[in-house]
Amino acid sequence: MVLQIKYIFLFLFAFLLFEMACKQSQICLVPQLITIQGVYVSQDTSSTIKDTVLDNAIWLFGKDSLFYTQSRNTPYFSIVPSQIQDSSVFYFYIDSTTIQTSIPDTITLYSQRNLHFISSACGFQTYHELQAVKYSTLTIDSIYISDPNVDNQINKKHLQVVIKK
Amino acid sequence: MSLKNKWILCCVLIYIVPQVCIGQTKDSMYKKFTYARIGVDMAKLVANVMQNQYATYEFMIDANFKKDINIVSDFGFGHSSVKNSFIEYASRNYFTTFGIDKTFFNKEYFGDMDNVFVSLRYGFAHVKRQDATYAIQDPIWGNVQGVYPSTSFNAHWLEFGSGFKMQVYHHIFLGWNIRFKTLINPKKVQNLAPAYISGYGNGNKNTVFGYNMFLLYGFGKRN
Repeated sequence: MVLQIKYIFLFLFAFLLFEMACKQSQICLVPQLITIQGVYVSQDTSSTIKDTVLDNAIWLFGKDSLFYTQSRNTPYFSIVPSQIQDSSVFYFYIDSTTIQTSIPDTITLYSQRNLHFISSACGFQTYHELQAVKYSTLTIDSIYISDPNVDNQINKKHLQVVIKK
Repeated sequence: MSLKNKWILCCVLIYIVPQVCIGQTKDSMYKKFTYARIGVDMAKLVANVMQNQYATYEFMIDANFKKDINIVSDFGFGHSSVKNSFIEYASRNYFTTFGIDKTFFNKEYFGDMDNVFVSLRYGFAHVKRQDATYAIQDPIWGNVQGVYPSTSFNAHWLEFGSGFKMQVYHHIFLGWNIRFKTLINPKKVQNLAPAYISGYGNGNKNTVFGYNMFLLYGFGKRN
């Protein structure tokens, strides 16, 4: 019987260990916002497209265009599309130091929004399927959708922005 | 069901069927289904009190089939809820599992029912999830709020486990086990998964470890 009592204590100890180990975390570590990743490119004289580093480009977007992302000495950029409507408007300045004096290129991205469940700790995020892009051509030559599926994979490049030489 | 899961299911059947069938000739003198045990998972009852995210009530019944094999079934029901700044929803489910416990050691005396075992089970749960209200916090374009409609679905899983059962008093037994569980149809479950599926565990995960501590009452004639 003494041995059996020892077993019971063993049971309870094991149970407590498992209970502590199995407690479910309710901390969300995944960002809810999804970004569109892009790369600046340009065509050289032989019509070859290659990545182009921009020293000081800036994108304005969001409610009242109050948010921005800046590309400093990099060919890559990331922007956040709207989750409340199917089109998002972005303003692109090739040189952020001339915001006061220059006119930006206006880029409108059209996408289909799809709710994606992350987890019970984080809720949902919005995936986008890029449908079309419209743009002005002050400093931009053209824009291509290289991968229309905007999701939580961070290594994708969704847009190619061809800069005028 | 994906091809991979069909293969897993086939392998399980290939393991179980000979275990059950071969014994019919070898142990023809052995009397089947003479002693059964029914019990309740005490650990889950304690866990229900220790947190407010879910409640689960799990029961087990087993019966002797061969000298070293018991036919086992778990059944029960439960509910869970999720409430945080991003999402709020509740779900309910009932479940059942069935399979075998294969014991390791010989009986030490007539009617000895204590043993260490490995187990293999198939599990099924029917889950009902209510409407979910969600909020996506977006300081850039504006916050999003909405309702994701309710749904019902079935979850299927396989369990591999190990544990032991011991008699503590006359027909009273304590049984403790740990189980590794893997969902057969994770895609069906994981779109707005319940925080807890009674019988399975955390619905957000394709594979989980679980444990039980059953208090059992046995009845019938011992072999």
